[in-house]
Amino acid sequence: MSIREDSGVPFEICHEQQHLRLLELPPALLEQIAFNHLSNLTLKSIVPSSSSQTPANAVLCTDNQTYQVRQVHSSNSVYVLKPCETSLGYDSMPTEGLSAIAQCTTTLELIPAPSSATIFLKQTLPVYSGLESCTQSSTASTPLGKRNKRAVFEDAPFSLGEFEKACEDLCVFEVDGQAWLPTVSALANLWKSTMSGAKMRDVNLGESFSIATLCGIVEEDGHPIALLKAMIDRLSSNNSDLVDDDIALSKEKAVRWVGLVLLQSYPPSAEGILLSEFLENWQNQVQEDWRAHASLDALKGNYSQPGNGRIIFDESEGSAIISSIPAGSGGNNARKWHERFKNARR
Amino acid sequence: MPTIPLHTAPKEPTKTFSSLLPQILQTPTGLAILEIQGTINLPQILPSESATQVGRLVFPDYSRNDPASNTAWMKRVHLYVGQHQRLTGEVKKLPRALAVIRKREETDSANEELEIVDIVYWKVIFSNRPEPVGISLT
Repeated sequence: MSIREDSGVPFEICHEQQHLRLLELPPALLEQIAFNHLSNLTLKSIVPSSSSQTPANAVLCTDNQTYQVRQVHSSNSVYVLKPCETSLGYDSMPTEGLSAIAQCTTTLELIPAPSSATIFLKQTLPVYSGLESCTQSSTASTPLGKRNKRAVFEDAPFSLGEFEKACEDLCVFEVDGQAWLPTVSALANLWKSTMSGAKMRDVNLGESFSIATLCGIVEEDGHPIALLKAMIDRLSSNNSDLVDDDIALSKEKAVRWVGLVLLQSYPPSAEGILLSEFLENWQNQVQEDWRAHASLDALKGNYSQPGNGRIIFDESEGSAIISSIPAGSGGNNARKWHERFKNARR
Repeated sequence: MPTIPLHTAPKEPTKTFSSLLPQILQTPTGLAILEIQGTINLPQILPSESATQVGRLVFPDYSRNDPASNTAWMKRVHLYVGQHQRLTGEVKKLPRALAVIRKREETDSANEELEIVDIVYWKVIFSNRPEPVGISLT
């Protein structure tokens, strides 16, 4: 059948309407769906809670990106049409026409959401602060009972890729089916123990070594092996020449990470830490041939200098090491109250 | 947290391509979007009927023989409503493509699953007031 230019296509409204929703696709997502045949999309609805940071009540996740879903009402009548056989043609013969099978009063909009995974994990996971706090008895004290990473992810309003990245960045580890978030001091102690283990066994962390050579010593010092593995994963280089289970740490990653851990493990103070003291401490905590790399350049973006040769840790958006001050509650915001009033008045 | 999978393609793709509409307007499964600024007032629905006839959709400047690059026809579309009214509109590219989503009917699990039936890039929009017309259209 062809379009009869003179009389057009019969148009009817179907009485039995289907439940269809329209979802606006941002260009990047459209490209993935239309050309790459991306198959993993999930809609997660967020149980409202006062601590929830996201204004949306649902998110759409791809493998590694999260979108907030917003429902937008339209005052226009939007119909979804489908070709159909219409028996009510103008000549009583059945003809082909278009039937409105659904009317959509709302459209779903997607807004790319910045990753909230780091903040979420810091708020959700029980904290492992050091020796012996990871035993059976203390797991029972968490209100939700034991939760491994998988269980935590099920409640996470973002994609698996973002979750895994944040877990890696924060060295989240599992013991007996419970996921833990190590504190900075736990990480600093673990690093100390790893360093002395490496020295004892004559291991160069920058070259290929087996985790097993360090396990005994680190465990003797009371650190969970799972945490050691999480830290090594965090700091390992992506060197593909390594054989078997051997691993090597990346100098850049490790030196920067150690610097940030140390900087954050000082008690917070407004005036900061003496730079010379910090640098000396830092250089003593990395292996001999890495010392030269332990300079302020390696901490770019994560510190500020208030003057008098002092240094303060500065949590930028890129930083993923646990901070003792929860994000968003810093004194920084309080000082800008007049700006907030100004915005509210607009 | 309740999690619902959204499949990017229908389980059983139904190719109901028809040549009723200019090709650009139709998705592979034959869906199209029509938008009216206003509402269509339907007469009382009779239980014996499965649908209410509204009228006809006409693309006066469209010709199947024109090259696809010719888009002048998109500027004028008519929707005749009933016997006496006509809406004038146009074919417009959507600022963002729309995925048409429905509940998947036969799922492997007991839980709800959604699927993208198709993706629509264009719509027919009628944003003008209806004009009166005679029954000269047959």
